[in-house]
Amino acid sequence: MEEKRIGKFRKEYLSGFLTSFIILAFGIAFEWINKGEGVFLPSWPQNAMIGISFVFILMFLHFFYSDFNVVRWLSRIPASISAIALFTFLTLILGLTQQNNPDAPKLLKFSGLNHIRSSFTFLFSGLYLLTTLGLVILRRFKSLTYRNIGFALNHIGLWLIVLTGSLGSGDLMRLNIYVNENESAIYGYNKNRQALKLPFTIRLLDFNIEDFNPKLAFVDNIDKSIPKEIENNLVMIEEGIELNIAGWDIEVSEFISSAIMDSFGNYIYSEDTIAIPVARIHVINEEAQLEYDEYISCGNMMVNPKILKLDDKYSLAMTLPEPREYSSLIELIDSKGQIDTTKLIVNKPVRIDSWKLYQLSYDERLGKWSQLSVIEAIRDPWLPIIYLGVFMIIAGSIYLFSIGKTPNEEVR
Amino acid sequence: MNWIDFPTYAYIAGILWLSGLILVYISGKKKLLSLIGGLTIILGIIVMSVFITQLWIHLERPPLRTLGETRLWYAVFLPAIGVVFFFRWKYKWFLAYSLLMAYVFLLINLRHPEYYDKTLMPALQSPWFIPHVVVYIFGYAFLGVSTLVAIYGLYLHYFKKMDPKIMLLADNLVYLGFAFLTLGLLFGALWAKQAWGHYWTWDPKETWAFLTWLGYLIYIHLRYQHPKKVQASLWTLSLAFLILLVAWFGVNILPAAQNSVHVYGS
Ligand code: HEM
Repeated sequence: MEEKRIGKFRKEYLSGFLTSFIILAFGIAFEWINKGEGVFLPSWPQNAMIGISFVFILMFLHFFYSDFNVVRWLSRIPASISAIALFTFLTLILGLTQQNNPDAPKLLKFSGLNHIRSSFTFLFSGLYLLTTLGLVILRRFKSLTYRNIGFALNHIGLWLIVLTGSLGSGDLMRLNIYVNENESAIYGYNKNRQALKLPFTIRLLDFNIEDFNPKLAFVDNIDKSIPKEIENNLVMIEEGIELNIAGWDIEVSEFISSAIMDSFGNYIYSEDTIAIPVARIHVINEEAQLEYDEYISCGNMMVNPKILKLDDKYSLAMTLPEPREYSSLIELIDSKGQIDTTKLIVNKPVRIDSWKLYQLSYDERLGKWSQLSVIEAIRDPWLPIIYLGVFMIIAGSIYLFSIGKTPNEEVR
Repeated sequence: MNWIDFPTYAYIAGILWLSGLILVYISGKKKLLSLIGGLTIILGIIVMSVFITQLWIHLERPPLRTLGETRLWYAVFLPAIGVVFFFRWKYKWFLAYSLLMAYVFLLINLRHPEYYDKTLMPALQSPWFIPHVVVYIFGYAFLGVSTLVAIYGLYLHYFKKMDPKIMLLADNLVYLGFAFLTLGLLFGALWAKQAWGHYWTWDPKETWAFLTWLGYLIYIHLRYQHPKKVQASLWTLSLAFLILLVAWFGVNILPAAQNSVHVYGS
């Protein structure tokens, strides 16, 4: 009896890994025949038809052929594990190697291994996963017990995400919109830099950046690096702070975020384009008997930075300020001609028609003086189904909390 | 209040944990003594929590950004998990393990003091930031401990006699840890949608987090189907932790991580 069970165990897993291996081989062969071009993503309505057909095939197999060995095997753990393992293997390659490198050798390109995500192998592996998962769900989902509901939340949720995430990506539109202050944009650019007409108009009224204060940096005179291992290096500058860095006592006696020099040689606040952040620094090194009281600055694209040379080894410099928040005040005219004025901030997308707008970037060379805002417009009609899957799995996690151990042990 | 005061807090917590643990071990049948021991450990946890709170106030942002900051949270969560499991299931050795791990994290932070960086890039200033990272830390803490259990289990399997309680503990930890890991992954996806416009971009960090998730998924299913095949499950569990380690430390140095949005180090 025991011997027979072990034999079955071996056989089931052997079949599983053989299947995975065949899928891998077929994937690479298809990719080779297709000269490494990858898979073409279907879009609406083909993707919906493929999805529905797939569901029907699974149901057909389940209702009419469920006592066939292959179908029964596909709906159980050994096949599932081999499917997950194959998917893991491909993801591992994806996670270990540099993908889509144009200089990759031809052999690599033709095998599809350097563009896993769009390869036939990945497609087949996903199909295998969805087939086993789909058949498991159909086999298991007979009665509404607590256990079955928990099971269904996790498995149907994941099934929905994998299926819609892959089939739906053919309909995903991501366009970059470049718009200058007081100008309007009606075109967006996809990742192949093709211009596409937008169904709405964006007018940029104002682009604004608020910065963090810059940081105080100890710089190595020879290789110009900022040694991170020095304690307290790269602390944000604030008026009044006192620090000890590498034996130097440092005090920031004054900080002006945007300053110009007046005719008496003093720094005063100004919003002029040549204004720079300045900090007055008092430094003492008791041991070396050195003392300075000087202004330093990171400069900007028009003004050179002011660096304080401390000794042969180190200088004291100011880093360029990092943005705390950047935002665009925009006027939107939607497809029906309705006008709306809103502020677009990172992390707070704005909806217009069936699109969502995201604050993406700006002219980073100009920083604070950028007149340009880069906005991303995204349309993803399948998102609600993805969210449904996500919330099902979130609920399913709560089920996992509540059982807290392998359920089978009490069953058997 | 900043990192400069860290050693004081770390030493106080460390001493409280050690004395608590000693009390627990010498208590034998005396319930009161082991209760006092447990409470002493909780006191140590509170001390570390106070430090985190003050650091948070000082930085004007949640201290969840750098590795050093996350290590602090482990130093709170691991003993907390240890204490809960101790009061619930009386696992002394497990409490000792979790405290040992916490010591390691504190020690690394003592050896590598960090500067207190207040800047936080705009994409990270999100209401998702805290739940995403905290849930992950919880998940990693549970799964990290499950690995120790797995190694102990393998030791028993090969050299002593397997104790079924060990597998029960491993399952408990993995189910809890995996649930947190799943939440972390999904919160991350919801956040990415808000901040970067898409919920999944196969960024290296995402890829490795997903790989970690897959590793534990295999363990759960192996256990479900073959509760008697302890050896395979335990090896899977140990292997999954290796992936977790890469996801946590290694991503920055992988060739795949050329343009990761998760590498903030520059
Ligand atoms: C969100 C991800 C998943 C979670 C949380 C999960 C969790 C679980 C749990 C806890 C069980 C034990 C059954 C029970 O609760 O009563 C189980 C069973 C099972 N799972 Fe999953 N699973 C997931 C994904 C998958 C995937 C991707 C597959 C297959 C490709 C799969 C295939 C199976 C199979 C075949 C069973 C056995 C069902 C039975 O024999 O009744 N699962 N899963």
